[in-house]
Amino acid sequence: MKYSNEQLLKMYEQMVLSRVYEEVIIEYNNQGKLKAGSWHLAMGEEAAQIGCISALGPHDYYGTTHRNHGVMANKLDIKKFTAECISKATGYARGKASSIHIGSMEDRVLMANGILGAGMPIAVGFAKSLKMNKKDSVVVAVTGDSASNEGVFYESMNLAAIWDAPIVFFIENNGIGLSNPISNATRIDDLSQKGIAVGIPGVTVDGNDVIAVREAMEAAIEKARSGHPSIVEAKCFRYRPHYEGLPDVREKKEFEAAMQNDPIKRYEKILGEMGLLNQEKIDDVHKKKRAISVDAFDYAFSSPDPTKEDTLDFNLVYKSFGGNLI
Amino acid sequence: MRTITYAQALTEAQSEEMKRDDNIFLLGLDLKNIGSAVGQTVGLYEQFGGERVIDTPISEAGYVGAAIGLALGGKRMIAEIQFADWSTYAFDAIVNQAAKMRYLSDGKLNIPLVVRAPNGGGYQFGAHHGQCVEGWYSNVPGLKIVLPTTAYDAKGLFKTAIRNDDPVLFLEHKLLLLMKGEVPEEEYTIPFGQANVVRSGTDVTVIAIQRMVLESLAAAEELQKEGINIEIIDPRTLIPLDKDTLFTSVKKTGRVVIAHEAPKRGGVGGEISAVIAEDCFEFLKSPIMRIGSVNMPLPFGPQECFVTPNKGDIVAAIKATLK
Repeated sequence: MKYSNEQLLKMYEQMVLSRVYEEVIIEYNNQGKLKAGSWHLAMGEEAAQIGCISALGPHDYYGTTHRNHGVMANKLDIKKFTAECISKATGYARGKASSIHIGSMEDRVLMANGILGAGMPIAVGFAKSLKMNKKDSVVVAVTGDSASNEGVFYESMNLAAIWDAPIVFFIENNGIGLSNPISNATRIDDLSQKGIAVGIPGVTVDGNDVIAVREAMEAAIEKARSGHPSIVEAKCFRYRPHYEGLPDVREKKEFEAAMQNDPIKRYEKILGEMGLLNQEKIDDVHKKKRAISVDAFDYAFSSPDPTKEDTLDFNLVYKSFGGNLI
Repeated sequence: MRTITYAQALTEAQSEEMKRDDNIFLLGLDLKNIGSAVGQTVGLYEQFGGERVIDTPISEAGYVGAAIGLALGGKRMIAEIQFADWSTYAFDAIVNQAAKMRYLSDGKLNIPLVVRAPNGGGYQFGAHHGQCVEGWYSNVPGLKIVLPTTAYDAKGLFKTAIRNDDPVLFLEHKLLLLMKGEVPEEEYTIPFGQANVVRSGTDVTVIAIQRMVLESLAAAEELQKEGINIEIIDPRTLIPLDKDTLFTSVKKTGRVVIAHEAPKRGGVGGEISAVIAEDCFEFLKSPIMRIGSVNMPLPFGPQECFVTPNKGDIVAAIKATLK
């Protein structure tokens, strides 16, 4: 195993935080406690998401999708993120962004986007700026399988290729859009092959295997650092509907099959065999992560709402004044 | 004073600004080999090299989006779209990304990006190469819209645009790009939100945009012979809009014609008309008249002139306000 015990356990803890944080969201949502929020949960995709962020170097950037609660709970300050999710004044953008537009340059997270695929060319341009500034950083731009069908995704890959941009396109392929299955979205099996059209390579990995995802991403990030962009596709399964509260069109047997391959259970087995994990430790990690998640929501619930004045602050629309802009 | 073309004025503005600030970069089509479709960037590649004057493939959504990313990375960006009609491909980048990023980041991010694109007809290139697009964008908070009419305005307003920290849609006019005008050698800028009183008059206020300024001047000359004295105002920037100058004129004349080349329905003439009606209703002596293109696509070739407005339309509208 190329990773230290500490690294392996950190990934486990992060996956559990992702899972448990989203379980708490579901619980509170079902109780009617969440008055605001954009609840596109990624439950089931923990190995893909945590494998990806584990591969980032300290100066690398992560361009997130809207399906980000678990991963943002790990990458950002969970309290401030939760407050942002429910539009509180203590959130990252004082409640204007929620999770669907969350970003934090200080934390090297490029903004999520409500327009699927629209963040891709922005990520490419940002990657080019890093190269122009002689930085050693790489951008990992994340998209889902569905948004990889947007025309702008092709344009972004093409620009990355001709600019030798330090970027990796990471496709979380959960096999479905809101309701449209991937079989009705593309004729290719592996989305990593989309780069062939623009001359950049790609690999497809088992998105339920956190170590495989991390290894593939580390290799792609190192290539990107020397100006060779590529694609990594992680095939995974979304346990929840597109959005909390929407019906799910998939058949029960699909879920049953996916549950057999639960990325956290799989990883627990591996770590158990390595002697790094037992049931007591598993329970302890879950308990601690639940406490962190509940704490974050307590913080968010008790935070003030943004005022009307804060919301209508015109200085947040334009930076340069002069003339009648209102 | 020396005279140069509007296109040369733009080239000079970009050259001087890129010399002043080596953090300014230009992205677009056919910059290196021909200096843009109407020569707006001739010589910039030779002057600043391919690191700063960057030819892109035909992919407006991609490279305008990338310009936003470069701006996030600390660059000051100019993204040229070869014809304003094609900005539809970059519409999301301009409208949903650049214009909203500052607000969505609670003021932490800003996008110093000028999207330059030739607006308007006159080349008779038809429905995809001759439109005036400012109306499409005028409903977007977070964006500024600049519409220069003369070489002098183009240079001075471009300098303000590139020094500005917000996204700016800079719509140069295709036909006017070829026209010469007086441009001083020395440095100057024109602030946003200051309309230009092109012609002083007492009877009717004509608020005209780009090519319609020239048509209005011709209309005013004709009407002067009949003793009708026209005031012409060129707003120069739509966002911000210099309401004070408009209101001062309307309060003086009490009669208003608004002329633009974009289709009349949904054009910015409707907005300007409403702004005037809200604040100056008691000064109006007759209904506000709007002039725009016929509400139909532009035909290719010489028949374009049947769709776009001209001096005669403006004369008729002015006379209607005097009835």
